Amino acid sequence: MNEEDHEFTQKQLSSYLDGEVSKTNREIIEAHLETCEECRADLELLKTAAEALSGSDTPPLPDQSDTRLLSAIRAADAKENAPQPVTESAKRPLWTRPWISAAAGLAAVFLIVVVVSVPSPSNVVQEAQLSDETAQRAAPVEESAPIADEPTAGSIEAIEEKEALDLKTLEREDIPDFLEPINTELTVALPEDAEPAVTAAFEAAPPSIHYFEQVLFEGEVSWILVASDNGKKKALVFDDNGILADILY
Amino acid sequence: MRDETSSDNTLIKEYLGGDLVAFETLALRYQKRVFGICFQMLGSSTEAEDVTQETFIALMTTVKSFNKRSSFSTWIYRVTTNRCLDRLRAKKSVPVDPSELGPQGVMWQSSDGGPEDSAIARDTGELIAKTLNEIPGEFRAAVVLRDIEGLEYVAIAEALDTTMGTVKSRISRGRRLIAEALRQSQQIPEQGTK
Repeated sequence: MNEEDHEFTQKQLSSYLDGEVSKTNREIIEAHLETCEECRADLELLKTAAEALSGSDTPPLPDQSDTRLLSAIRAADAKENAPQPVTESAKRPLWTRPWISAAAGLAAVFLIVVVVSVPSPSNVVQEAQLSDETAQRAAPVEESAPIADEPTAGSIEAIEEKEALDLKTLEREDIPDFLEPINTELTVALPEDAEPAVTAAFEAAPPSIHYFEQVLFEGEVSWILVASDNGKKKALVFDDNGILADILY
Repeated sequence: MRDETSSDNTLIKEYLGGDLVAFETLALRYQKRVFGICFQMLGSSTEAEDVTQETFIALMTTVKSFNKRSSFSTWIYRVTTNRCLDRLRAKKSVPVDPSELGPQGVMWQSSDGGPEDSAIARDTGELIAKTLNEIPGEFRAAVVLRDIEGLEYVAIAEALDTTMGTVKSRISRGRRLIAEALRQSQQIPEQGTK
């Protein structure tokens, strides 16, 4: 018996049973099966398991489960569309809320890092546009973040400290299943030439940020960020241009 | 109620336009299938109904990102199996509830209807449910989608967001574990060797 064919057949038997092997592989497997009792026995065993599984039936839906399902859907819809109580922080425009500004800033930071790493004429234009856009977004940051155009005296040291630390590995948590992580331990780096507004956003963000990761969202490269807003966890998705695409929860 | 012959994509479009009834129609269309997967994955009809509801509520949001590159049913399989795997990870391994088996549980359909065959069928059904409950969730998902739901390998790969090679391996390993359990229960005689 050819040991190589035997090992190959053992690995492929289940797929062979389902007709999921190429013509060439099928010929190798069938030739081997003619000479190997063990593989024939294994094939029968797998066939029996597959038949037993396919013979499994599911119980009927529980009584009134359709009514309960529709109730749950309507409740979720009502919750989604319910007017939110107006709080002090909610009165502020979305982009002026520190953690969202920080998120936008971080998204831009990432993009800048990517852009800088692959310089090209179009990237230079894109970077310039993003820097402007980031400055516009982060400018209204209040309270916890320094004003963009007036970095505090300590901010340079803060930047240097950040650069010394350089990287932040953030913990993965509460990421919706449909988001596909690309880099499971993405790190956050602040580029040397970061705009003051981005720096300010970065400075404001870390305490509240739980996780930041590059993901595939709707098949597109995006960024997911999970942060706390007044103790409530939020998940945001940014597109690859640093634009907030969705607030998941 | 919505025209039940409307295509999935039409209903999705109507829902995204603000028509909740369109989503409800879609949910009722897939409820049994989603429940079935949840039941096979979780081994409890109570939990299966719970996760079925969670799946559709999650779909209310994620359907916005449905890109139509795959079929909606594949998309649902994906969300459903992910929900089930999350549930399994959360609870680790909880033995199957025997009260969920029998007439309301997994039944093995025998070709004959005699009393002896019925007893074997019940035993086999219970054994498969128990074994499914004990094998790793990823293998379980693969064999449930292949052998119970009848999906093609390529659809399973898409639903589980993995490669064809991994799907083949998981189905093979899942089936071998089921086969081994059946053999140990002496429902399959031990096979000869080479």
